[in-house]
Parts: sequence; C-alpha cells; structure tokens
Amino acid sequence: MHPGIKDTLQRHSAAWQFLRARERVALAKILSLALSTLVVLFLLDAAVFRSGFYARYLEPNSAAGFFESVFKAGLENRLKRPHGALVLGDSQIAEGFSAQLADQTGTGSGWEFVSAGVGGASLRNWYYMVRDLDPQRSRFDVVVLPLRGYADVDDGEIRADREPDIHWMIAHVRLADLPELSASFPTRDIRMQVLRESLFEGLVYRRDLREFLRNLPDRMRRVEWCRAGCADSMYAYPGRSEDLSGLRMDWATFTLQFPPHINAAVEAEMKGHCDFQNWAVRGVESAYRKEWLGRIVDRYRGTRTKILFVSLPYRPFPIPLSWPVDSHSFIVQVAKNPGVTIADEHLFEDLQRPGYFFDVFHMNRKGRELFSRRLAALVEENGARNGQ
Amino acid sequence: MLFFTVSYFLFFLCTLTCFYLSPVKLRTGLLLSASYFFYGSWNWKFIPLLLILTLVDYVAAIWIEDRQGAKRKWALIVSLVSNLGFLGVFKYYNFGASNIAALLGLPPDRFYYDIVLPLGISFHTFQSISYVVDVYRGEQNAIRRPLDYALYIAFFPQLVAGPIVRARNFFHDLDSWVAPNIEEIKHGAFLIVLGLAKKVALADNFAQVSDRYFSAVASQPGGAAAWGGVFAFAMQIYFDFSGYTDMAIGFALLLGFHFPVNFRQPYLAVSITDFWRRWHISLSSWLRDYLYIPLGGNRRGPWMTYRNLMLTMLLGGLWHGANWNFVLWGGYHGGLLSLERLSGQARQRERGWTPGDVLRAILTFMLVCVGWVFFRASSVHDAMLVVRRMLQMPRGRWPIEPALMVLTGFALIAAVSEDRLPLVEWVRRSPAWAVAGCLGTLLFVAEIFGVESNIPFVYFQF
Repeated sequence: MHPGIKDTLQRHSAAWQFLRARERVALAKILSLALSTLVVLFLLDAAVFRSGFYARYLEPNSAAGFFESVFKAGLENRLKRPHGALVLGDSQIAEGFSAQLADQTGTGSGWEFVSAGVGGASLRNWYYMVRDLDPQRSRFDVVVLPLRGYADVDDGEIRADREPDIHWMIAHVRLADLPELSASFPTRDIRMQVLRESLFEGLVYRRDLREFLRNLPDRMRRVEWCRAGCADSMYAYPGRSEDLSGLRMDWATFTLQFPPHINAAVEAEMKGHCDFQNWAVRGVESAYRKEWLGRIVDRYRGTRTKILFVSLPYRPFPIPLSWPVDSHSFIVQVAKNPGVTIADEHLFEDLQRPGYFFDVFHMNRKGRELFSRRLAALVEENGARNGQ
Repeated sequence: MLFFTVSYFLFFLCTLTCFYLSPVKLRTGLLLSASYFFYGSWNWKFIPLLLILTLVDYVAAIWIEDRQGAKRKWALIVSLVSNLGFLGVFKYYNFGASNIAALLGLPPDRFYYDIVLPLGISFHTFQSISYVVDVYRGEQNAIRRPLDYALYIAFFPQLVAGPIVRARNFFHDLDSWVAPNIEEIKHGAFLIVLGLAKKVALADNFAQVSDRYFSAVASQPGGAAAWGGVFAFAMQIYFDFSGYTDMAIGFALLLGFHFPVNFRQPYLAVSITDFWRRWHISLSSWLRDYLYIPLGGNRRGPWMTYRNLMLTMLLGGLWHGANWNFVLWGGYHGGLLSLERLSGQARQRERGWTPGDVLRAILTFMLVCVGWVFFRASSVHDAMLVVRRMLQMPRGRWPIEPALMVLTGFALIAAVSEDRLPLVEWVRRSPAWAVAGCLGTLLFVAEIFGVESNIPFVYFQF
C-alpha cells in the first residue's frame, strides 16, 4: 500500500477511535448521572417513607393509617390469654365482628380475639398484614379467613387487578416483595404502576402528606389522640343500629324492593351489587384465592397455628342460587392441607336477613352480636377439637 | 407519550443509547425514525401530513436556491400556501365557518366539520416557514439531504410544542455534531429534572385550582377567588410551558443539539415589552423576524409601528387558538405594547433591582394576569365576568393551599437570585455527585408534590 494512503487511513482511524471513545464516555456519563440521581431519589424516599418514619403520622381515618396508628398499637396491649385468634377481613369484618363480644363469649375458655377487619382490604392485603402482625408465625392459635361463599364466584370485579391494594399495604411491602407483588397484577400498566409505587413509596403517601401539610397541628393532635384511645374505642365499638327491614329481592326478575326508610345512596349501592344473574365461576376469582389465601396457608404450614375458613354472611337476604364447588375450587383444594379446617358453608346463612344488615355488605349491631358470639364459639370448639 | 411519563423516559433512554452506539451514517435515520415513532404514538394518521409538508418545503427550498427571479417567488408562495393552508384548514376552518354562519344568521355549526388538530402543527409549520423564508432571503442554504431536513422538522424533543428552532442553529449542530461534554450533560440532565419538577409539582397543582375556578366562574363570586384562579393559571401556564421547554432543551442537549432559551424569568419583567423578550422567546422572535419586521417594524413612523405591533400581536394571539378569546388576548398585549411605546415606558431590566423595578414588575405581572383571563376563560362573557371581579375588593378565601404558595415562593427566590447566582452555571461547575444529589432532591419534591392524574402540557393544544 502507498505510504501516504496508509498514513491517511491510520490518521482517520485514530480520529475515528477518539471520536467513538468520546461518544462512549458521554453515554456512560449520562447513564451514570441518571442512575445516581435515581439512587439519591430512592434513598430520600426510603429515609422518609420506607423507614416507617412517616407511617407513624398517617391519617388515622385512612385504611393504612388505621392499621398503623390504631390496630398495631392496640395489639401491643392485647393477647394476654393462653389462646389467640386472629380474624382477618375487610369492612365486613370491621362492622360485622366484635372482638370484645367474642372475648366475652370465650371468658373462661382462655380464648382472646383480634379483629383485623380493615375497610377495603383485599385477600392480597391480608397476606401482607398477617405477615406483619405475626412475623414469627407463633402469635395466634387460629387465623380465621372469612369468604363470601365457598364457590369461587366472579362477580365482575377483577380483584387481582386492584391497584388501590398498594395503598392499603404500602407500609408492609418490602423491597424483596416487589417482583412477586407487581407480577401478581395481570394488567401491564397496573403492574408497572404498582412497581413504581412500591419502589418509590412517596407516590403512595403523597396525598396523605399534602393533607398533613395542610393542617399539621390538627393531624399531630389526632394521631396522638388515636394512639392513646382509638384501639380501645374500636374494641368497644358496638356497631350500627340501622337495619334494612322490609327489603325484598324478587328472584324471578332480580329486582330489589326497598322499604321507605332506606335512603337513595344505599339503594343505588345495593342495585350495583346485587346483579346475581351475572355471577358465574370463570376461574379468575379461583386463581386469586389460590394465590393469596394459599400463601397464608403456606405461611402457617408446619406451625401450631390452625387456619379456619368460614363462609361470611355477605348479603342482607338469603341467596337461593348456587354456584358449583368442584375439585378445582379453592376450598376443596385447600381442605387437603393439614391444619386447615373448613366450617360448614351454611353455618351463618340464617344471618343473611335484612334485619341484621345496615347496607348491602355490612351487618348491623344485631348481626354483629350474633355473628361474633357464634364465631367465637366455633373457634373454641375447633380449638378444643385440635387440642388447643 | 408525554415527556413526564415512564414510557417516554424509556423511549428516550433507548433512543439515546442506540444513537450513541450506532455508526455516524445511521444516526440521522435513527433519530428520524425515533421522531416519527414518537409522533405516531400520538396519532399515526398525521404522519403523512408531516411527510407532505416536509417534502413540499424541502423541494421548495432547493427550487428557490437553484432558480432566479419570479420562479423563486413562486416556490416561496407554494411553500407558504401549503403550510398556512394546512394550518388554516386544520386549525381555523371551524372558527371561520362558525363566524360566517353567525354573520349569515345561520346556526353556528351549520358548516362545522369534526376536524382533529394534528399535534404540533402550529410549531412545525412556523419552523418550516422560517426555513424557506431564510433560504429565500439568502440567509440559509437549502438542505440537500432529505433525511437531514426531515429530521429538522420532526426532531422529537421540539416537534409538538417547540421551541421553534432556526434552521441555521439546528444544521450547525447536525453538521458538526460533537458528543456533549460533562458540563453539557449536567446542564441537560438538570433541565430535564427541573422541567419535570415544574410540571408535576407546580403546574399540575396550579392547574387543579385554575380548572376549578374557570370551569364554574359564575358560581365563585368575589375578588379573592378571581385573583386566586387567575394567579393559579398564570403559574400553571408558566411552569407548564417553561417546564416542557426545559425538558425539550435538556433532551436535545443530551443528544448533542443546542436549542435556544425560551423563557427568561418572564414574571420578573418590568414592562410588557420586557415580558415579550422573556416569554416564549422563540415565538416572539419568530413573529418579530417574519411578521413585524416584514410589515415595516418601527421604520415607518409611530402610527405604522403601532399598527404593526397590533397586527403582530393579534396574529400571535390567533396562532395560539382559533377563538375570539385569543384574538382579544393578542389585541390586549398589542395595545399595551403600543401604549408603552407611546409613553416611553418600554423598559427592560437586565441586572439588579431598584424599588421602582419592583413596583413595575408587580404592575406588569398584574397586567399579564389580566391578559391570561382572556387566554384561559371559556368564553368572552366569562372573561369579562372574571375581569370585573378582579376589580372588586379581594374578599373571601384564597383558593391556593399554603404548601403550594411556599413552593412558589422558593421558585420566586430562585428566579430573583438568578442574576447573581445562575443555577445553570452552578450546575455546570459542580461535581457530578453534587448534581446527582440536587437532581435526586428535585425529583423527590416532584414525587411528593406531584398530582396523580397525567395532565397534558397546555401548549400541546396549540
């Protein structure tokens, strides 16, 4: 090759190499600056939110705040008797089950009850709640898991895809949970949102934080007040006195007939949740139950804690329809596990009466009293059978 | 794909990485593909329109450069008619049709067609016009490489809402492209995060207040509510648009392109003239260079100057939207600019503050706020109602929450101290770890003060 051409090529090659190196360096610097910025953001977020610092000042009236300020604090002074039972649930348990009444029923038997009914909590939330409440898996003799019937009925709502779940359990989620937690949401956008929110918890807490900043002294006062007395007042909560007497369901046309004293809001809510003709077993609810209730069962496998499934009174009238429970159903499969007891599905069916409910979901004071006492008796009986 | 969404950041990260790692020859094509993908993610149906305008202006510019005499002018006219024709049809047809119908005593929707406004059309047509006119004036060489020209029009950081980039600046960067150095990287990253924080922590919060007010003006009496709603909108539009522009400039900078500054603390202006030298600078300088000066500027006596100012601002108002409110907004600013020129009050503040400057800045801000009423209100009737209420005693509750006012206060302090401590300079000089700390903190503020809903940028509708 001509020396001139060779020289030119070498020079160009060196310049090319230099340019390429400079570009690679620029890219590396951009990416490292972006990464270190994200690390700083994560550390700040973790210091304020993940550390649990902010959770102590959450609005006590919110679900997460109730759990942090009221429930967990209240639990510290409980469980003095030899046997403890935890009743998990959502607002149906919060309204429909009284630990105080259950404790009174069990006086002398050595049983003490904890109601973990948190409004809006889902089966997914229950798992993370129970993990926080009983980290050593030894605190309770029985964990009661109430279901709305034993058939895995899909009522139109895909609970596995409920993004607000993250708001309920944000204080219980750890970094190691992120892959499996986000993967448990079927929709891609929701999965990404949950991943983001559980990585940067400020995204979940920010609405509460803004409320906090709006009236700082008031929040502090209420948090302190709640820490001191909310657990006791929740324990003594008697339930609501209204009822739905006079409510009828026409099963031929699936229409509700309302008595005059029921207000429009309750009516509308009922109509929205009584479309039984659309309920069917499609497999979605089944998979959801298997995933999250299955995890609770797995968590207590090999421990002294027993799991008791009960069918909850979940509507203000008896439902003359039935959906199939077969070998694929969650309840049939879970029943095979040692330490799991399935109560008779019809045990509390007689409580599905308008007189025992104040709205479409929730039992009133009368229903609460009956259900609490009967559930306490069932737990004791079950415990006695298990030698507890 | 909005700039502040995770999907956009992933898109940008992929584009950036591919851009830096690909051979030089492929880079223009790669950026162009990314730009069309970005535009198509909004509505792929408008890509052919973008391609047609690109092709027309590309050919027209070459024709202008290669020909002499009347043919050059014809090529310019074809280009202008194409750009303004498309803009007119998509943006102003229904406005014109409803006014003609009203004049004829027909129902306003008599000639109405359901036309979707292509995203960014106002920006890319102005950019095309400036390029072709510059070629016609001999101030810019016609671009012979079609991909380069297509990229100039479609470059994704500025495609949908500016800033309006002049061809000479863009092609200078493209032709002599150099990877950004560490100062530019820090600068670009800072602008992106600052823009994001402005948008989600400030603009979107203010948007909630102003939307609440302007959606039900009649039911919210009192001067405090009116001033609160208008102040909220003034803050929303500034933080929204300047936030968007900061991000656009930052993204471009990380790719090695330098966009012009679009905002220079406009609410610290000491006159309306000063305001327009600080607000949406790329548009106001476009209007100056391609409308005001060709109309004669200030070279033909005071009355012609006032006429030119009024015409420029009226058309500038109309550029923002096909609505009488925008025309009134433009006319209001044209009137104020003329008055300032008439009274010799067209001052500018460069550095430092005197008590007189402070008073003038407050007065200018209040005058600008009155203008925003026309910009934001849903009808002229609503706008007049709000202005009347602003003249009442400010009784009632101030509708903006304290935390937001505190954040705005910090933004004001930062803006005022910009003369002595330019933030960007500080960022450029500081070590990377300090910049990362600053950016992380800004992101944290954006995280906790951001609102849940994705509110699109205000200027996307233009």
